[in-house]
Amino acid sequence: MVLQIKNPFMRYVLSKAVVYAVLWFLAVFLNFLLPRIMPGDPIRRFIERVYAMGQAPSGGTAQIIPEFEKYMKEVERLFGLNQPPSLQFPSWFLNFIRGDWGFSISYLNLPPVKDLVMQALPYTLALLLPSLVVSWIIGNYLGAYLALKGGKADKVGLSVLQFIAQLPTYWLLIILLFIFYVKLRWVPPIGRPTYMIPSLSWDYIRELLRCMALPLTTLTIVGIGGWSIGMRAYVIYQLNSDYIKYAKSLGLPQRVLGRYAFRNALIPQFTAFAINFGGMFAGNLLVEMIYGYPGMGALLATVMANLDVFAMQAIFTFTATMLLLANFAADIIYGFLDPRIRRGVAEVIS
Amino acid sequence: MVEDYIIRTENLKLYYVLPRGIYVKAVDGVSIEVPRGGVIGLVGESGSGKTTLGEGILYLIEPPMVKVGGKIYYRFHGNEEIDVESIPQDKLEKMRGTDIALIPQYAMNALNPTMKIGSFIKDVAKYHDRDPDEVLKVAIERFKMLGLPEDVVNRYPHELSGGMRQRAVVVISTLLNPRLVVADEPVSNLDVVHQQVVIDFLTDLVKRGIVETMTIITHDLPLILEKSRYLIIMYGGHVVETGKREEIWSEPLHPYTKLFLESIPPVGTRIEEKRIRGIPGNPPDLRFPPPGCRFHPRCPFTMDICRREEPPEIEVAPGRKVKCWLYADLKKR
Amino acid sequence: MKSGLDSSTLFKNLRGLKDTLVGELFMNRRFVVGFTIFLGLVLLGYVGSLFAYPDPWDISIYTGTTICTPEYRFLPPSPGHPLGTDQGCRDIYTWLVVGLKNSLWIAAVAAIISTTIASTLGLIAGYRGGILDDIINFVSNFLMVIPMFIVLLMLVSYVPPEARTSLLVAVMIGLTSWPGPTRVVRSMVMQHRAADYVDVAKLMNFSITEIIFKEILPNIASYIFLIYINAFSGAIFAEVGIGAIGYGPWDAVTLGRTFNNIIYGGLVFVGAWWSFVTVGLVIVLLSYSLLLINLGLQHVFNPRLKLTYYAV
Repeated sequence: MVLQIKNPFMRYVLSKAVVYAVLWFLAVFLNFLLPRIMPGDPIRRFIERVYAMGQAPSGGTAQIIPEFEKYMKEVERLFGLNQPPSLQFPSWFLNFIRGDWGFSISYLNLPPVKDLVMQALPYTLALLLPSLVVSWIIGNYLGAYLALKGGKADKVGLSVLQFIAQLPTYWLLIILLFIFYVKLRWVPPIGRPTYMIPSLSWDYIRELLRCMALPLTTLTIVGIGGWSIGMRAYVIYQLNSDYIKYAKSLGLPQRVLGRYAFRNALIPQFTAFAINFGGMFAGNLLVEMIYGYPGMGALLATVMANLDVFAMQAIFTFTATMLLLANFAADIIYGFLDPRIRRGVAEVIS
Repeated sequence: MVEDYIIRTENLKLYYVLPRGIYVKAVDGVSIEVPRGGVIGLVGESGSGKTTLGEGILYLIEPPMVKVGGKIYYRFHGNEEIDVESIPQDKLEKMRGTDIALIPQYAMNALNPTMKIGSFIKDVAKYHDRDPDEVLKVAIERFKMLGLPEDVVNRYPHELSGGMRQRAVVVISTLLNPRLVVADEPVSNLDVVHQQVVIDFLTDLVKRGIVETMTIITHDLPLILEKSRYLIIMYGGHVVETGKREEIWSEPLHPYTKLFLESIPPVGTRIEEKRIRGIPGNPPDLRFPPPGCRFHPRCPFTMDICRREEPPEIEVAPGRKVKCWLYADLKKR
Repeated sequence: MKSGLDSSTLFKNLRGLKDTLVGELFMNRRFVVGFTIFLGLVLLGYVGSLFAYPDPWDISIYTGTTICTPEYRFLPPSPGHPLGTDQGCRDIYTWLVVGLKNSLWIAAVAAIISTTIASTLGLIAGYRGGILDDIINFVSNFLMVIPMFIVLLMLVSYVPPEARTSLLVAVMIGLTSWPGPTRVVRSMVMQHRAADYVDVAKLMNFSITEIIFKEILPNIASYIFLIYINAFSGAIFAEVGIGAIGYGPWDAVTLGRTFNNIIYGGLVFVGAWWSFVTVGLVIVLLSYSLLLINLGLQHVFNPRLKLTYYAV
């Protein structure tokens, strides 16, 4: 069926879609499988904990709190405990795509996992998206500049950037925390506007920005290191290409050649950007945890500490889904930007 | 010395630097003059250094190629020689495409894959202060002359076949009517029909006075034997013989030239009738060239001195040079 | 052509080759600097441990009791405690050097595991081709899309703390980092498979295992070493990463755990900069030195990359 479609770009999109659909299915299945095959049977322990929570101590004999019935039912339903093993995955799968992710035991009020995720997600995106975009843009220009400049500046610049790029983000965060909080008191010690109820009020947002300053700076600095090294490599590769040599032989000046190389080097950088975009949804665990920033990373850390299986499954699966989606989008964008794929090598007139 | 020349090299040495300090001596002490006007053939087998020399005279020297020694002089306008290295960068850029141009050996990959061909042409025009649309019109005309469809300018390079791209590059390089064109293997990748078309196009440009001098680099001697008026023959990084086409054809001096000419079957030769002699052996590894004359391992006339000392360049007549010990006594006279 | 007909000749050639390669490595500035720093850190870990207190958890040696009292907490550097003490009266220097030693060990083991898996799978996939190749390729491509750090975290988080031994952590790190190297090995093997000496060996009726191990392997041995170094550096990053958030091994003190302890023990807020700056510095130097070693190795083994200067 794929072969019957004429437009080369649509063929590309469709074939990629098929591949990613398969990958996604595999990812979801693996996520389902994991807690069920790990040693120590996390699922049983989880269920035991839930039952334990639902028991009210009353003079020696344990009784089930009536309101807890519905939680029990949910556990049964979502884990498919009263279903044959072969049906457990399909039922879980269906529940997952319907958005029915169960409840979390990490918090006293046993909130729905979905709510937790939807609450944490905006924080993560608010932190990681600007950092990604800013470091990508700056990194591109910096990398291209070094590649075009060459010579001593390039050598020194490269070494500096290499050092910056491999810095552990959590370490840089701590150093900056020490300088800007312990010594200067410019930023709050915890990355969460404490004592404030989340809202879209200007007060809250301003406080949130103060909280975001540190992790944002950390991630952006390390990010610039990484992106510029990559871009520099791509630009150098382009500058050594035949088409640049030819354009130079026709007398096109440096700045034009630089423009050509920059544009062509940007294509793989775009792909990398999209992939990183997908990675955003996992949050940056270390940074969020250490600073206490209430994003996906911190959420994940909390639920892992409590062995909160519902939440863990949902978050892992959600993250994997976003990742694959982002990769898929990356492939599509790349295919669109590169005229070789967009137009296909289909009809060649000769 | 050629009477009227446009480029002169003096003991030019162009090496490629490889890792671990090894040099490929592609052009190892070449002193030639490129005569003004007409079709000049720069001939040699693979690995003779002809491409490097071609790039060298256009001063397109980039890493890993380095100029280890020698000089290059331009004499385009008037009778004054200018050392190429003394020309300021921006002036040199302006000369490229208008005075000097290259049709590269890598023509099939010479076009920017993410640019439409028309856009590239417009850029070239713009940076030489020409009207982009006018230049584009001329380009389309010339594309048609080479058998390319009009809409080539709206296409990306990968949408054309290799042969089409090569022809497109031929047009683009000559678009601004440069005085000197160096065409490096312009037709090797084309089918026989288009080979003729392109060669005719190039020689036509010279005939009509649009291009003053056309230097064609090739390993295919018969191809330019007819059309050229002057030949420069290279072997193993050295120029072994130069001269007018008729002179070389009728009286080749260097053993290599002799063997080379003998290896060309005349038209109409039948396989059963004549045995074609090739030249036994292999071209030298330019990282470690043989001592003495570079051709001596394959030369049927090798003498003892050929194995030891590099032969001198002997100018038998103005513009007629040979680098061979067989003619050394002529020098003494 | 004296290709791999005689394996002993090959090994002789290899040794000769090693002489020039090793010599050249030490001429490479990045490699030398990285190697020196790394060596220094290894010494710090192993020799430094000799000077540390025997048990990182045992505070009675200097306090006289197992209860932590305020006068021994958050101590600044002193002769008995070069890096002071933490919130639990524990000696930070001991935690640093013992942690360093253990982290190096874990990384070494993890790297062995992932390199072995990658080499085996890569050799099979590259040499055999066919459906085996497709499967291995598909799986490794799939796994590369997912950040292995998350997967590692998943694996580690489902394991109860008591079961999290150093060995287990090393194994898990090894198991989550093989996809990338596998692809590299595979492409190298595919290149060599097409080489002449393999055909000659086939003609001489060498069995497949013989060809793989006696002919191809020695040729790519130097690259496998490079892969090992890469894996080692990745393993350090992984261990410190999961350790820093508390999911490192439970049975031993590692660098990640030390860092975690420092952060969650509040030493930053107390202003005990000597603790996290030094520990942090060790971590940074460790990863940076490995990066330099890596770059140096690449430079020497991949000369094509050398000629990437271009001044327009």
